[in-house]
Amino acid sequence: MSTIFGLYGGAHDSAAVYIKDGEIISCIEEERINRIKSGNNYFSLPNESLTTIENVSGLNVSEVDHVTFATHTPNEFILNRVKRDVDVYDHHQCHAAGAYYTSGMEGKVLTVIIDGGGTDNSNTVWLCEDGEMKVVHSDLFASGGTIAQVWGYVLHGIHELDKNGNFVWKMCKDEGKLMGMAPDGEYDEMVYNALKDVISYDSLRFFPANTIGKATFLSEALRRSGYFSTKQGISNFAHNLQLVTEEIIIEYLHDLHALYPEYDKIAVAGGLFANVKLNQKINQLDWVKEIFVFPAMSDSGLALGAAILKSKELGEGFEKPIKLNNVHFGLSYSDEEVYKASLNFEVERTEYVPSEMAKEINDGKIIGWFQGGFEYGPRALGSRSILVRPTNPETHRILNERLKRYDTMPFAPMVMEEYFNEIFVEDKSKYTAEFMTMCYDTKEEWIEKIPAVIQKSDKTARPQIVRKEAIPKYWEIVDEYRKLSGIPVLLNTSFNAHNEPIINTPQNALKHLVFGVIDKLIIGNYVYAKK
Amino acid sequence: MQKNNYNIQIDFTRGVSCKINSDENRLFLVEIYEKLANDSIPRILESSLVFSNQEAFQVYRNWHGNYHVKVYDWNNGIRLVHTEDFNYFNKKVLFVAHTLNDDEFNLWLKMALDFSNKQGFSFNFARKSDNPSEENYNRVYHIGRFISTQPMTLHEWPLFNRQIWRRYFNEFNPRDWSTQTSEEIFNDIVGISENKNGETFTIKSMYLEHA
Repeated sequence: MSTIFGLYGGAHDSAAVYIKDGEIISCIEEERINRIKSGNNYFSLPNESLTTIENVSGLNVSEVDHVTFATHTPNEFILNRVKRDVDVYDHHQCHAAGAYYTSGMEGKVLTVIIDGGGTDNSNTVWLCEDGEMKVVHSDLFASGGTIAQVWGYVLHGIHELDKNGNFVWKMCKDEGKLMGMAPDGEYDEMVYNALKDVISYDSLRFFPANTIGKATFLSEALRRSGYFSTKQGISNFAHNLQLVTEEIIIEYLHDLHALYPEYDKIAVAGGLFANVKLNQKINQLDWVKEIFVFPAMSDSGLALGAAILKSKELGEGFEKPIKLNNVHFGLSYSDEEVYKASLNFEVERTEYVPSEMAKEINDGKIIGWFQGGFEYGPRALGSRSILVRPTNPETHRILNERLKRYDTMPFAPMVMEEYFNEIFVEDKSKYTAEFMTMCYDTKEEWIEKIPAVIQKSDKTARPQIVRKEAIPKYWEIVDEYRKLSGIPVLLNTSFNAHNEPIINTPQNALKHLVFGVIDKLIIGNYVYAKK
Repeated sequence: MQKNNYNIQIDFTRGVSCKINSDENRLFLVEIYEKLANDSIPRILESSLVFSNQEAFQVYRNWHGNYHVKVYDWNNGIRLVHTEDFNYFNKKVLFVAHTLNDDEFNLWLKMALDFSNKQGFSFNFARKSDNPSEENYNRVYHIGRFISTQPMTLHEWPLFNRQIWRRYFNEFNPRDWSTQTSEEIFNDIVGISENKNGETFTIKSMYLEHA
């Protein structure tokens, strides 16, 4: 049995992963360690994340049995930092491996990868069965475009530059903010048609080429015309972009289904599938039995994909897709370590009693939640979260003020598995909802009960299903809140302030406590409060 | 060619140069496509936003093949206002190495000969000074010199050109580029320099010229 490091870097979302004897031990995104949000650090390399997994594993990179990379990590990094033989896997193959081998899906699975560009291609399709993957479609980067490129390249033009001359919204960082505004927008024929000139689809081909150039042109032309000068204008643009996105991807999937009708389960990865509203539309297709969105769907997921491919090659695990209980593969800290860290802050600690903290949440307190290893991927999923009652419509404004954010997306609900069907409409693909990768329609009777976690315009939510067996402590706090309020839902937002990566250390969390971002902080078995 | 209230001039004598004159400040998109013999879909080579009456769009892409230029205007939508085809088949090509040392020059010479044999071209070689005169400068074509009318940030550039450059260098000097970014390829072969803001590129060294 073997030890494997998986690495990716050189663009956005660099990461390092450690697999031992076919088991995923550690997955570390560089931004969590170096504290620079990936979108602000485009050419990041997995320097600190590699050091972290060296520490976690107790193995120097020269000692580990295998080191794997996803393209296009720069050779310079391999030569200067890794300094040994490595295995290199294709960018899209790594995306596909991450998605398929963690999908938990049995039988035939269609794995679809769409991003802004891999090694040479921008979208690929894989037929997967019995633990084997075979690529059947691939679009060359220079011959066609992808809708993911449009989302990235329009962002620069939407806002004027900030006072330092930087783009306000950045590629690979702020696409979600634009998507979050789509429900508030309206159909605009001019924008819709212009977007169709930027990206279209027919018969398994995305076209035209130069989608990037056309997207930049469209965005700049609209900015110059004043279209983006109002929030409604930006919302209208987002609405039409979302519409075009859903139309062409759904048509693409229908065409794939016509070719491969026996494949009714879909695993997806690539930055495009961070779009939770698109994922909802796919889930609603009659012929789709289940969709799984890889939790680290962007390029940070490549490091795990590369390591899985090697592990599979060696015959160590991943004979068939596995199911993840959670993605808490980051660094964790003992109660003792936390206590030592707290001595540098003006705080006091008491023992954590779930029912007491549930009461504080019910009373409107904003609670920091810090348990176990931090998450792999962009979502806070019960390891580094901020928890709030979902019942107050003013929560969105209050939280944005506290966190100094200008989020447009509504905050997300965490829902006890047992009550999911009572609150949301669709009844499939629940595994992927454990990782908050999809929107759901909310049942009418719940919309007014949990307004802080419902998108006002389209009444959808982006829930995280909380299973008792998977993350029991997290489940317990929701259950205690349910006993008090009758509502099996808490608001969960990521534990970070504006433009900051989700927190890593107890020090990060305690700082937010003493600065008044949160009212109390639950770490491990203790509650910390300001003195 | 007169189009609406602006004038588009595309000059193929030095690669592709596009100048758009207009009474008003307008924004255009200019694209250059390459159509390879075995490709059903033309591949995008270069693209740039062009502001009228400002910096001309210039791309040096003197390459054996068929090319297609498209110019778009914005008028409540993306409007194709100009197309033009050109090709460089059956042209005599002259490689000119400007700023290379002897080893580099010999490398390029070998590559050019390989390419010549492969493609059936007739090549002439010349060694020019390290500081070409304006006259010489105007006579040579820069392979891969990329000039944008807007500063391109470091992260925009490789996404745009990775495919093109990998194919280009593979043809000349086959080796495993699969793990290298396009910046590394450039650093290996021709070098990249940045302006003081770290925003723009100047590609040094290798030129290809129609004889």
